[in-house]
Amino acid sequence: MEIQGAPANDLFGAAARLLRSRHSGARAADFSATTVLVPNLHAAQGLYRALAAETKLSALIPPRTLTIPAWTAAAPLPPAQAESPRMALLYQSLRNWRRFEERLLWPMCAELLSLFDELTHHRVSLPDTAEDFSRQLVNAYASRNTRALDFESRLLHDSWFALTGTGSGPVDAATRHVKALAWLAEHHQGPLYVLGVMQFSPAECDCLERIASREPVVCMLPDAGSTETGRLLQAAWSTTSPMLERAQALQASSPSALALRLFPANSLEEEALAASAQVRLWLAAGKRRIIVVAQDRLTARRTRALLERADVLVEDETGWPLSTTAAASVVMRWIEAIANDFNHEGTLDLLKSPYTLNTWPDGDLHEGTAQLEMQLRKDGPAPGLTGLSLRARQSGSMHAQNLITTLQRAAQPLSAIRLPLAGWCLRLRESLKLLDMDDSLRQDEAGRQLLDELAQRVHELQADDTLYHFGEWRRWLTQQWENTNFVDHGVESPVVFTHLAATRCRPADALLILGADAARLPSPPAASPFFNQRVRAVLGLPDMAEQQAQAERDLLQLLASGPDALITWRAQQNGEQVPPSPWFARLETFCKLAWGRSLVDTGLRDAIAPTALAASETQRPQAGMQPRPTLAPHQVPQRISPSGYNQLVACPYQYFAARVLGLEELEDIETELDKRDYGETVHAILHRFHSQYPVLGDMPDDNLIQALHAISEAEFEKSGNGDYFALAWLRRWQGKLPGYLAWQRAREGRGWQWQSGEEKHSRGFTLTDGSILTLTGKLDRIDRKADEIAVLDYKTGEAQKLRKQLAAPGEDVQLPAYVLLLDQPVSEAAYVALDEAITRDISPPQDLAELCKDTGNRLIGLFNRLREAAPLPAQGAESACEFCAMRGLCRKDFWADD
Amino acid sequence: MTEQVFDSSLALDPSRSVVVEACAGSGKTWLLVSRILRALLAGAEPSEILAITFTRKAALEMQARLNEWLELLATADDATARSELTLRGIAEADALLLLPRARSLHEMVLTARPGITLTTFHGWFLEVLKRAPLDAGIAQFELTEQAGMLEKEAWLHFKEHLRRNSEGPLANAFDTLVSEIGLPSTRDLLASFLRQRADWFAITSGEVDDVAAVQRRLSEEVGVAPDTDVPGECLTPAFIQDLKDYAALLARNNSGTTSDHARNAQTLLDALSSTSLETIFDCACTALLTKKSEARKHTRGQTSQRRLGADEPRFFTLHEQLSEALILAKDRLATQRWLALNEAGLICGTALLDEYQALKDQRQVLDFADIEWLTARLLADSDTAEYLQYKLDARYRHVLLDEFQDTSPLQWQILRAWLGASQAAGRAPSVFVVGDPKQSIYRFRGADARLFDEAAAFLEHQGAIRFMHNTTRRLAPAVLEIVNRTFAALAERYPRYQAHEAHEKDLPGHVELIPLFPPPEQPAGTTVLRDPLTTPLTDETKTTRRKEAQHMASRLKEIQASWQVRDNGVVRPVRWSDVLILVRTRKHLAAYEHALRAAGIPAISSRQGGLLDTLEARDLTALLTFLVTPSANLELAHTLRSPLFACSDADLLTLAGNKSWWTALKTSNLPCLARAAELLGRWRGLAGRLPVHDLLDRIFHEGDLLPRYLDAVPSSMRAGVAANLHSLMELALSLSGGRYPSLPRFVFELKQLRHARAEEAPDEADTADGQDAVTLLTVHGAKGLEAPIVWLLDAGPGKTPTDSYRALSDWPPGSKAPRHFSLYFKRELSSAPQRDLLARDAALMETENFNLLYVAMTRARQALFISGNESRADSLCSERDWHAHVNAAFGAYQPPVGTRTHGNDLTSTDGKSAAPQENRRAAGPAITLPPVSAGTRRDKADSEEIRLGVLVHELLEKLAADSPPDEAMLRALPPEKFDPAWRIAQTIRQNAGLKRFFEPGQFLSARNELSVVNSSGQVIRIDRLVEFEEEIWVLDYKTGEADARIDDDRLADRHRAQLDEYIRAVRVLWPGKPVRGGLILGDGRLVML
Ligand code: SF4
Repeated sequence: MEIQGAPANDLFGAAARLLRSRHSGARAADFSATTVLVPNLHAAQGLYRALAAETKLSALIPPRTLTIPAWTAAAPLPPAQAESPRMALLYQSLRNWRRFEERLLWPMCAELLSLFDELTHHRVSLPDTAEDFSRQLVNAYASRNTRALDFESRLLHDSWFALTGTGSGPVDAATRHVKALAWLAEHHQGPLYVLGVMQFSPAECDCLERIASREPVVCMLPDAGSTETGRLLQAAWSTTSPMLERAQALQASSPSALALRLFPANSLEEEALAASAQVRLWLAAGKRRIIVVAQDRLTARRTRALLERADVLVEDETGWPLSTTAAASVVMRWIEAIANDFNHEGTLDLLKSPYTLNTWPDGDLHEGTAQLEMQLRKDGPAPGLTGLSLRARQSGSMHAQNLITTLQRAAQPLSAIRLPLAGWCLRLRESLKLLDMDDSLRQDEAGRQLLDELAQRVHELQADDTLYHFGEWRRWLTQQWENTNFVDHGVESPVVFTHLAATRCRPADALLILGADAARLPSPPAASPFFNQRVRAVLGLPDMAEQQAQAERDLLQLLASGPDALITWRAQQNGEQVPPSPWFARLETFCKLAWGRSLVDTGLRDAIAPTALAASETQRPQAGMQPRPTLAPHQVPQRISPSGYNQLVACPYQYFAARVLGLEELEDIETELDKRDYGETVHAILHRFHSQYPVLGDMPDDNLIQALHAISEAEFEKSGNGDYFALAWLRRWQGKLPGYLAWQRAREGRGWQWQSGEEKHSRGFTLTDGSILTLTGKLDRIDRKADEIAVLDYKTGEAQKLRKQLAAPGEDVQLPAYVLLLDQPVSEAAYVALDEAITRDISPPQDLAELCKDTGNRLIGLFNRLREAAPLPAQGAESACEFCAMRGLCRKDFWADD
Repeated sequence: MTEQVFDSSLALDPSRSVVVEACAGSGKTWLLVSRILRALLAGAEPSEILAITFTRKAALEMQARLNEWLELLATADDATARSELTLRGIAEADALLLLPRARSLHEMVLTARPGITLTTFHGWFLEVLKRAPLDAGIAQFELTEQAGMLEKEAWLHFKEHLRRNSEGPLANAFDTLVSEIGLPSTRDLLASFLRQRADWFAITSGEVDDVAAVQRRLSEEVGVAPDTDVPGECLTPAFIQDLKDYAALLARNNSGTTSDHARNAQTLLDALSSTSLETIFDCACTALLTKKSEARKHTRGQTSQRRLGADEPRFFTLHEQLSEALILAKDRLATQRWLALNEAGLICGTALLDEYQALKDQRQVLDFADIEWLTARLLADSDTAEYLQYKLDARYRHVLLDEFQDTSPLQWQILRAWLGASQAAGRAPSVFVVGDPKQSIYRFRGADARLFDEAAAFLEHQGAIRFMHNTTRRLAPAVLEIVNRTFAALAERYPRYQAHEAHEKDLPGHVELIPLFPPPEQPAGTTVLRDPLTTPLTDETKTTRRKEAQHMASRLKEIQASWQVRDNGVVRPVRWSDVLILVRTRKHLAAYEHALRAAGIPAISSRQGGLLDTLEARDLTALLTFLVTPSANLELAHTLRSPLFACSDADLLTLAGNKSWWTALKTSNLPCLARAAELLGRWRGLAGRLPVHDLLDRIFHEGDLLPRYLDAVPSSMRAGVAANLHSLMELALSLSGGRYPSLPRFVFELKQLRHARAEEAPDEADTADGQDAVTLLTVHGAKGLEAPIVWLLDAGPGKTPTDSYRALSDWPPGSKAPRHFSLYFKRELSSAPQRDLLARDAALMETENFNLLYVAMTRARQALFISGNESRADSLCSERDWHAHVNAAFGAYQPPVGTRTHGNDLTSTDGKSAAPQENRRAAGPAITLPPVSAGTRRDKADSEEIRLGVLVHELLEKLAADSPPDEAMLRALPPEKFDPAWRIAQTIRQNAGLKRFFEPGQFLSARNELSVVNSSGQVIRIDRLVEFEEEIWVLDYKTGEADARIDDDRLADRHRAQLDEYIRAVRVLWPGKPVRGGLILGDGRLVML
């Protein structure tokens, strides 16, 4: 085998020259008898271009240029066995161990298969017995304890033989690859060239060597030392002598302009902004081949969005796991909905997805979904499809009901107990069709790939009739999609996002490495539960050191070819200092040492500062100010309730937003009975109780308690709506009953008698301009003693808080407002604190009549002024603001000053 | 204790195990990193070093420090490099010898794989677990940092479980609990149980029925069995006889029948003739004991003498004896009741725990507690522990533990097991422990400072040396003096403290103790009602705090204008970033932030978990919520008011009263609303289709979001708001691990996260990129930090924290598992061991309170300010009155009439004040990016057809081979794909007219898929080229064209240009032979050109 060096920045030129000089075929223009192996298909383009330029022919037949896998694939051997039946076979064998949790089985299969493939590729075969293997491992681990390692060796050994046991039938892809190499070693004809740095497995090396004994084989490697940057990097990354000496050696040859800069970013956004700015600057400077090595997926994603927004489309070769695409998520959400008994949140989400039911008229779909959602918000969730169906019916919307029926029908095929994997997949297809998702999935790249994958698995697994239950299949499917890469091939662009390994032999005008921090570059080795690095090395598998050396060669070759390069990373993450990749850390130190020069260049920051709004922009936001809206007379409400009055007192703006604009918080689809529901229920219970027993008299406590219990249980049942914890609230309430009765008795003892409850009242007040303001409200309870009246209001809050609320006159107007509503003399007004061990009533400490008069006068005064356009300033006290729903409207947090 | 005087050359010797108790500012990091350096110099491989510290941040800082030093060693001149070595305890002569190795370390450490393990406990546990044997069942997990959200979910599952099984022991237990303590307390209790699960696992490890086992232990501990008949046990026949006597005497001791005693005596006598022991017991208790279960008082004197005569002594003896026995029995009854409740709690707790664990199983995630527990469990098995020693790539010879006082008992157990296993594997490492029990402030996270002494003793036993290091390099003497005096005065309650010494003797320092701000006067009983339109209501409790904050703000402004500090030996004017403001709890953080903002002082506060609470985040959340739920009027109004649209209240009024604001908005023609309608309509259209991140990106861009916000917020907030907006964008990228969330899902998760626990919710963004701002932190958050100027707020007396409804665990340092685990309800519902435990706990809490004060005061380098508020709260706690403790240090206590100061004047002497620092607001980019456009999107219209074509080509190529494979071998695709292609390929192959192009004997040679490169290097691919004697055919498959209605000419025209190019190329390659072109259609038709 012949090894030749080539200039790092002209590998293809050198290759073309060599090919031409060695080519003496019958027809000068036909190179097809020659085979060239390249690391990736992009390299073929480079070679063709160089060859055309070198030969100056107007047409030529190029050499067969392919990657090693393509080369072995073309060998005339039977095709390999598909992966999925192999995995299913292994699954069954692991399942028989009865030792592993079920959820681990598929991941273990994947781990084992990839390990076995690696072993095959590196022609490592396991000893015949598990004991021998165990012994081999003990040595490799340099361990003193065999017991500990037995399990690992037995598992690997048994699984290996479970898969390869039969020895007949189609072989797996890795084995086929190795066999094909052996075939090629015998049968390959014609000269063979190997271009660029490549990683060969032992079998590949062997194959090349055996061919070299018959045919000319040339290996052409780029020589990094042929360029200035290459020499610098070699010196910086060498380990032959101390850095100080290496730097001194290079001191004299200071490069004039190094096309390599480091950009430590302060945030993800800054990194992405800098990267996208750089790409745009390069494009503007006419660079045509821009490679972005994406070590950090998030930054890459963000950068891509920024570029697209700036009208630069990106060819993204890195791709994403299929499972992270919109299409796969919606299918998974469907499967999840079935598994989780149609939890409302997931189901609504599904219905709002553009993939589902897309042949429905838009209006119907929206209306149905909206109605269903509204009903759920109103009445709370209800379990299962039956529950949803109930809510749909309650909503009264035909569309909502049809939606649920459709879901029901679509779920049918997947309601099986156990099926073969292929069977499940077919059922899924059927189900998706019923959901009307087939077409919408086909509209989308990822969706189409997903359906194709599904069909492919069905095809491959048709012979496998092992039964799996739903959960097993679901995990299998998740893993399938997790491990399938989805690449959008729809874009052609000079800007390419790719992996480091895919840059081999790839000409670039400019290079950007994103996410070049120590944790990401070199990429950490994939964690495998089997072996460790030492054992891998002993067994003959590539270890971390080897992978890293390969990455270093790739990086060296890439940079040595001389592109304009920018290396970025997030130097700050969550307030933590993040070091750069050791390669660039060393390079930086080296440059400082050799020439006192730093490669760090943050000049790009000047290109990415946020643009100010054009001064001409008409709807410029104002700097934050306290809002003080005013109303035209017709906008002033004509009715007010005691709680509205309270709101006006607490914060006029809050009143404005809630009562003038009429804004309300969206009700949650609450899953739990809360304090407010508790209060309402308790109100209802007491009302019912007193309607039945207006006077306790000498009715024995036991009977009354019994009656209260019965009423309470019924009411809680109603308001709890199937919520189990309603029971807890009921218990809490039941604990208070004796205390309540005692209080009520004491009250009766003082001569007060329950008279009525839940009474609606309203009263008009004439304003200065003659308009009428109506105060309306519902009174919890009115008691009477001879001709005296008491107004009572049930409260479930703490007595102390209630007392505090009433301390300053006029801040809590509820009781005086009730009195005003009654419009007759009231001798007592009080809150009834129900939640204390013993019920207590709490009255305002002020003189009631006076308080009520003032409260009424103030109300009239306020509304008179509102009608005269008095502003409603946002000025709630901090305690009011804390839970204020209108905070996003008054924008208190952005006010410049108090 | 056996500490030695600190000696750095001994402490840094890598061959010795060493324990250093090092005071604040003594340079723990320096020591630890130096020790790593020494180990490396002594020949250790990077992979042989394991250093564990408490936070990721600290680990990264150590890493940075090490890299920095190693870089210096690699690049400095010889003299400097040597002095760096001697500084770390290496003899001059050795320094020279070691120099070459020292110089090589930088690169060695950077490139080593595996490298130094410099991590946190959890980071290291994860490393270990990744290597766990497969049957441990933990392969394939992710770490979840959102355990709190899972806990909430588990709670729902727990409820669902109860709903489905509303009978049975669990339902009974639950009913018992809620009836007794109510739902909220039940929830608190069970949540606490869940949080203490590691202790629960540890104490029940190996038990079959864990609840029963723990109950049994508790029952033994309290000496009461759950089924003991306590009254019966007490009421022996003798006792009953005594009671009878007593009752008779009691009756005699009272005149008449109206007194309580007389009535009780009678009731008791009646009861004694009944058979129910319970009744007797109750009546006896009423007769003898008060409601509070104390013996009733009977006065011995003339009256009793007169009434009882000779029986008087007997009456009093009986009273005493019987009361005592009854009190005991009552106590036993209460304990029994507690025991029953405890059981109910544990039954519910374990059921909830099961739900929680199952949930994590299903999601394949582990939380921090799992990680610890699993590691402990793995290492507890000595075989596995040894196995792991082999399994890790790194083999540690040097173990360094930082901040050891923050270690928890379980972590220590793990370490011990690891050290034990290392010994078994023949590789016992040297251990270096550094920490300061006085800085232990993480009890709430399970840290136990007592472990420091425990570990020290353990290591000393194995030959380690122990040092005490009390020289601080941080604090100025004047500040240190106050610290020393403060803690000297507390010596009795805080014995661990020993006087510190200052290293920098001439560093000027200053301490200022501001008198506590008194609470406002109670408002006089006004009768005039407030006018809410003109007069805002002020929260009285907040006004005091506001006064304190305002005082601080104005004082800081003075300081920033006139003071100077010493920074690395250089004296320079004060910057905002020199100031660190500390609060005890995060409760009032917002109030202080507000005051700083009002004063225009830029402030960074690590509002942990606060991102989603900021207005800007809520703005975007409202917008997204509206996009998924168009009926959300409030969210829409909120969005309209946000700077994105900046609509006015008057604008909103035009929409008021509409049922659907969105519908109304769409018809509005006010410019601001019309803009909103246009943009919102557009985004609604995209909402379902674009990934959330891309949607947000569009919103940012099309809405001019960032510049509009920058216009709308006060200048001191700009940097923070911009950073937060970007953090949200980042959240859209990273939430659910980069999974594609639908918009509704994203909105849902935002809501969940907003209400998650502070440590789990996303943090507000760091604006640390060079912004000059004061930092506002809790004392806990400031651990490990220092600043020239520190202001300690809210140092006045605090309320005693109440605690109830939680799981209690007693895990003595050094033991393998807790020795007690129970549920604590409240004082009245507890057991004696619990009360003992709580008393011991209280002592530890007190120490921790002093620790906290120590940590707070020792953050200050040159100046320390202390302020606070008086409080009117009832249950004040004197040891929490830090202000008073520091006040005492200023000398004998006097009523503080004014600010008390100590130390030097730090005012700038040259009269120059600091240059006022403008908060830079970028005026826009200095480099303008040219508009470019690049890339094209391929038309994917007929890609299905193209795919079919490719497949047919492939099949034809294979079928045209010399020995074509059979159909079965070709069938690698599902029939719906394969069959159509196969049909076409067969049709073509079997078409009689095409035979001559495919049957080998009929032509000279043929090539499939022939590539031809033209002069510019582009490739043409010819489907099939067939060479005959007299001519060459270029064939192109057009399998999609099979429409019989299109005639040959039209087809030929359609593809002529392409074929001509092929033909031209072939003519060049085969000169002299006529070249003909043809199209082969899907139906086998040949169209000749
Ligand atoms: S947040 Fe405060 S100021 Fe704003 S509307 Fe609500 S209560 Fe009023």
